[in-house]
Amino acid sequence: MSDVTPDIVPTGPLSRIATGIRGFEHISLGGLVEGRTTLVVGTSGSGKTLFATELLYRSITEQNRNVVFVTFEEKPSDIVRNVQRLGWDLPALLRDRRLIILDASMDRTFIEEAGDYDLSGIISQISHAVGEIDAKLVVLDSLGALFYQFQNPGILRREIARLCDTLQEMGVTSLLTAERLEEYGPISRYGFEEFVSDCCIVLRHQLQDEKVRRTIQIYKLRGDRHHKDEFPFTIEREGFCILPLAAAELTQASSTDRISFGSPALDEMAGGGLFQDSVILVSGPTGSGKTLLGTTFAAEACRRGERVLLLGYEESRPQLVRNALSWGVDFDEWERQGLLRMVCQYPETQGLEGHLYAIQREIDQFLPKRLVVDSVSALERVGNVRNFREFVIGLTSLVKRRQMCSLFTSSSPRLSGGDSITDAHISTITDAILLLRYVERSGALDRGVIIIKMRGSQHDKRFHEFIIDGTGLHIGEPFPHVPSGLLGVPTADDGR
Amino acid sequence: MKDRQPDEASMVEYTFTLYVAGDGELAARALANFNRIVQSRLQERCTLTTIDVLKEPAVARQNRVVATPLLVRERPGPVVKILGDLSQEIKTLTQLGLDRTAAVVAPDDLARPRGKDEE
Repeated sequence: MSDVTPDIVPTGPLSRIATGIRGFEHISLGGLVEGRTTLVVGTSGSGKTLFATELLYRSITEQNRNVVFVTFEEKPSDIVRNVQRLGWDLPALLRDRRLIILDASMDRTFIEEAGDYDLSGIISQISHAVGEIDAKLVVLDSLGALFYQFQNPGILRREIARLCDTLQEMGVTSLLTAERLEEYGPISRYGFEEFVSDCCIVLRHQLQDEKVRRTIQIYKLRGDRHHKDEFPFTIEREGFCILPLAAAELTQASSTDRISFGSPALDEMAGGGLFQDSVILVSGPTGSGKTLLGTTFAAEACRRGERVLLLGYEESRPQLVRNALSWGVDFDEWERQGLLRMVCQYPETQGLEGHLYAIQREIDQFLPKRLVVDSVSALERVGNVRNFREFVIGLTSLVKRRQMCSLFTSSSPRLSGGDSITDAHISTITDAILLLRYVERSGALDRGVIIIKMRGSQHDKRFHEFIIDGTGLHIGEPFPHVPSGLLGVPTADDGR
Repeated sequence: MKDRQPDEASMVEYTFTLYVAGDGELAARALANFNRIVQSRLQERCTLTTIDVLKEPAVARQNRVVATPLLVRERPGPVVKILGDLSQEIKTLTQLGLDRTAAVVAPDDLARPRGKDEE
């Protein structure tokens, strides 16, 4: 530290406190900085008050930390009512003396200003309330409202700085919210970040491709590490849900347990089966057998008495069931036994953040050992390329954390194969990649399969014939020579 | 300007609460200005209660006192609130509905500094 002045004593590393807000600890690398002030800024409707309220609720109920909440904008009764629908019982917390709400909202009586003043009233109220319930966290929402209540901005700036100093002296962690007028303009309307400057979080909501996209960014977190990107979040029935997309960790524990594909020949090609915690990408043009591979993979789980979640974005439920039946797999029966859950949805029903959240919820409820997404590429059209990439990374990181063996299918745009957007964004993250291709041989099109990547294991690198019949898939002999398996329509040279 | 005679309205009893924080300069100025501007006019028809929010934070919470000094005219109704050290004399008087011209100048107020009023 360069600012060594006589009255600064060296302190230990910053300690963090968990917020309980889903995803926040992940993007902030540990939560709020203990004993410091964090500023949350956002335009109107960006979720500042909800963030503040969720923080106080979870701090009390999950982190066992009492809270003083100061409202400058909304009436306490409105705040209590607004979060009732989320199932947060603030009146009970007030009764149990875990929470004190200080009402500093606009006075209904007109107040004339006649001379110099300060904010000792509220500062003294806060100090007293903190002592009264031994609060560890003070939440103030929203500072900007002070500028509507009081006319002298010079006094307010000075007093807000004094308020922050007081909070720091008391040793409490605090969170302040403030408005901003533009999504990518000045950080906050009255320049709060200048004097409340330890940590700053920016909430944004924008209309993008006719869909609302909400993001959260940790703008600064003085003196400590954090992720700097914007992370999408959704506001769900249980409050905030930050999707730690770009921050996905690639350091998940690796498992050496092998599981079966559902086809002994494929297992053999993969060097002995799939790893339990792996993500497999199956890429191929339409009709090349992707859904069949997914079905085979899912049926294998059911046969072993393991749960599998199948997410369909291209075909309806009845279609998936009918397809499976044509290959001798009875999805209805597996579903009755509670081993299979099929969720079919049009990609356009919601944004990618919404889809990811929905997937997470299904996984949390059903607790499957395997996941099939058919197809991931159908979701490409919901958002722009960047959103899609974030979605894929988020999904991959989610299934890795849960150690679910997952099979994603991806449709190549052209019949001859080639890369899809999905392939480009997903291939580096997946553990195994299977390409399904049409192969021209003696004037006829056959199907072929090749494993082009199998992380952590040897694998068969040859192009095998891939045969589909009424009992499912069969792997044939390798084609002796396929000159252009990856690019264009491969032609098998039988040596004739 | 004309001199007005005390009428019936001026016989009303006034009750004030002055919220201050500690006994610092702001509090002292507010009290001095109150005495000079308000007390001097109303004399014995005026009752003032001073509340120190540092000593009585619970009262501050109950009455939602955010900024100080805050002068509250409790009676006669309606409640009137004036924020600040009352250095703006004309604003203070206007807000309280007191006659600006009927000032009773006490001898010790003769040496008072010039008001900071913008009017």
